[in-house]
Amino acid sequence: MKLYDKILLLTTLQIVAIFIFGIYQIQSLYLTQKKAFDQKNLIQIEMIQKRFEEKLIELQKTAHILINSQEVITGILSNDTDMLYNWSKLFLSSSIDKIHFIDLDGTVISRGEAEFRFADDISKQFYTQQALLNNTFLGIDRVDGEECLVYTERVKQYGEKPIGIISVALVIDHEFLSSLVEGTTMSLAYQSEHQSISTAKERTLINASSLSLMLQSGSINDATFSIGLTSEKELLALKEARTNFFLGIALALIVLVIALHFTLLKYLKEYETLAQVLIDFYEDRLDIKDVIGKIKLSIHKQPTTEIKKIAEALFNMSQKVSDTQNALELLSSTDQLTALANRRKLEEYLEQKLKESNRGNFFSIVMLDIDRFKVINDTYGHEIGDHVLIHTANLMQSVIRESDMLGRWGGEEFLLILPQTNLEGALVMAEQLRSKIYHYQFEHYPQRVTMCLGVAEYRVNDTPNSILRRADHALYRAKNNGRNKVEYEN
Amino acid sequence: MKIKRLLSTLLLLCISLFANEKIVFGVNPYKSLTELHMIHAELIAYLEKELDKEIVFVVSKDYNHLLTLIEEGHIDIASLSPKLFATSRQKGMQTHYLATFKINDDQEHARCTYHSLIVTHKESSIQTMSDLKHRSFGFTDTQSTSGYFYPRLLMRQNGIDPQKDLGKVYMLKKHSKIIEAILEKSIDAGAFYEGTYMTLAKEKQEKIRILATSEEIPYDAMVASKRLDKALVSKIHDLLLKFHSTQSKPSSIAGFGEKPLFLYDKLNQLE
Repeated sequence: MKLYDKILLLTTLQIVAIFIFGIYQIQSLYLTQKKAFDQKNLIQIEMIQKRFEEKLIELQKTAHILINSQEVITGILSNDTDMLYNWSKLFLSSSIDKIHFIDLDGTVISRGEAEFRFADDISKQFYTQQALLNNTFLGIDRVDGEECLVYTERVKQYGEKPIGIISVALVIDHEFLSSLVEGTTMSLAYQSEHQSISTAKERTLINASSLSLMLQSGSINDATFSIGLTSEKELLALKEARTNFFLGIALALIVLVIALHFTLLKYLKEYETLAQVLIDFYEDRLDIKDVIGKIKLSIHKQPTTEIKKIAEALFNMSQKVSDTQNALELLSSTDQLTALANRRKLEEYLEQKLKESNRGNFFSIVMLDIDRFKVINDTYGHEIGDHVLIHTANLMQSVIRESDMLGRWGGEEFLLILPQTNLEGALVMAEQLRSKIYHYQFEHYPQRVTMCLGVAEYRVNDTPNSILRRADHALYRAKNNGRNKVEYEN
Repeated sequence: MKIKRLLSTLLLLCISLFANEKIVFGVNPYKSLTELHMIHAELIAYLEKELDKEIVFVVSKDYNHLLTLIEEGHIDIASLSPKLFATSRQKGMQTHYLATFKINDDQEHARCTYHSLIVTHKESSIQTMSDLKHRSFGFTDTQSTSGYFYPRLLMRQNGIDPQKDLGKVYMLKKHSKIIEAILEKSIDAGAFYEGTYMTLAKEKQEKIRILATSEEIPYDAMVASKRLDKALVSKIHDLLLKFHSTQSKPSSIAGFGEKPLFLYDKLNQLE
């Protein structure tokens, strides 16, 4: 696996692990919050239930206070509307809307909420009848045309003799429902056969449940108090926050992986390129020159100093290796005296030309030998002999084409390989060489130097030996024909 | 409100015990506290100025309660309803009669006497006193002269036994409340003193049918506690007779006059 892939995979795994932990934490937090939300709702429902019960208790308590007042008893006995009105007015509050004093015939003696309205017959009212029959009534009934929570109790003189009835009522209206749910996030709805009211703007309540009420069944049917949430805004906000967190995390994960990918690409690609160059070199897919070339190219693209330094170091090392290799190669293929190609190099080149000739190329060779070179050595010494060899080589080198290869075949004998040259061209070149040498005045050798040159043209199915033999035969003939000649073997 | 009034009364009484320079003035609760304050404001201001003493105004819980307060010495001077004054005299209660109220009638005449009225709603089927049988009726207070005793007398004079012939009977204490209850049709008929009728707006008067009017009744009597210094009693007596109200609207206090006490005593014959 590539270094890039390894780092990307490992880092991605770690990031994913961190994010999974984050998601787990968010989910845990959400569940905790959801639990708290449900708990809060439950507490609120209980609170509203309690408030409702307190309202009922308040009704009963007020009725009991009034019932136990001697003045009220006197007032009922004497039909003292004014006194009863004054007493009841003291107890009217946000929890009590109506206080009625009723005689045993079911006629209203006084209304706390309406000073001048009394003396009407309400004996047919369910709550009046219930109080007359069962002593008390606590339930829902219509009082003066309004649906109320009503508590009714018989008033007894000396605790025994019934003298009248007190009814204490709280109108079931929007205000009443609002007072119960005030300060909470809950909504309360009242539904009966006659009316339907709610503190919620929307008709339907979410997660609605009924308030548990210990009320006596009254004349109002299907009366229920439902409590529930108007909207799940809070919960939805919680869910939305969770979703946003998740989306944020997913997005962050993607962004991080992409960022990681590009960072790795940016910083590892060059390392990888350098490593690949070295691997290719190691596995012989590249030679040292290619390595140098590739590293040289990458040096200019390096984004960081660190990689640039490494690349430069590799470049210098490769350069040194290349130089050493070149030096060694040169050493192994060059004649030390004349700096021309040595025999091995000539043989390799000849082999090469023969292979190329099989694909249609042609060439010629010229075998060259300095005439009577032994005399030069013997007469003027080896130093002058070497001087002649060096300058002869230089002269020939100056004449031949760049594509031609001239080398020292051995002693005073040279071999010239002429690619893409037929016999005629080779003869022209050979004659130029002979003439050049012949007319050249050596610095330390006063005599003319002559050469014999044997030319041979490539033939089909030639081998190195066969073509060299023909060139050699031509050279031999030039020697035999008086030297300083060009001969060819046709 | 009654309890509040009672508490304020007691508080004022307590204050009065420790402050000799104050005079406590008590009245019957025949109207609301605010109305009573308004009615007596000018008189109180006059007395305060002339006597150079603070007047503490007290409204009793009910009619009889005012007598109790006088007897117990909590009240120095009081305005007693005619019947109540008669009752107090009959009981032998030691008080000084100071003067009788003069009240403006609807013709702006200051009068020391007035009438009790029995009325019904104009839309009611009750046309005469005899129609009151088995109909609901509103009295003010069992101690009220014009709101209870005289109406009952009028009924008896018209062949109706108020004990037996009436339907439901309610005690409404305040004269104005009788009117409102009739207009509201809570009661079929009721009784009150004519001053209440006089102060009614025209449109309300037009909705009322007067069934009977009583003979002349002396207005409330101003009395002083026996415990009050005689010189001070005499001074108050003189001051009351000198008092002349600047107001002339119906049912307001115009001044004071002196009436023979037998006029009051004969109210004791009423049942």
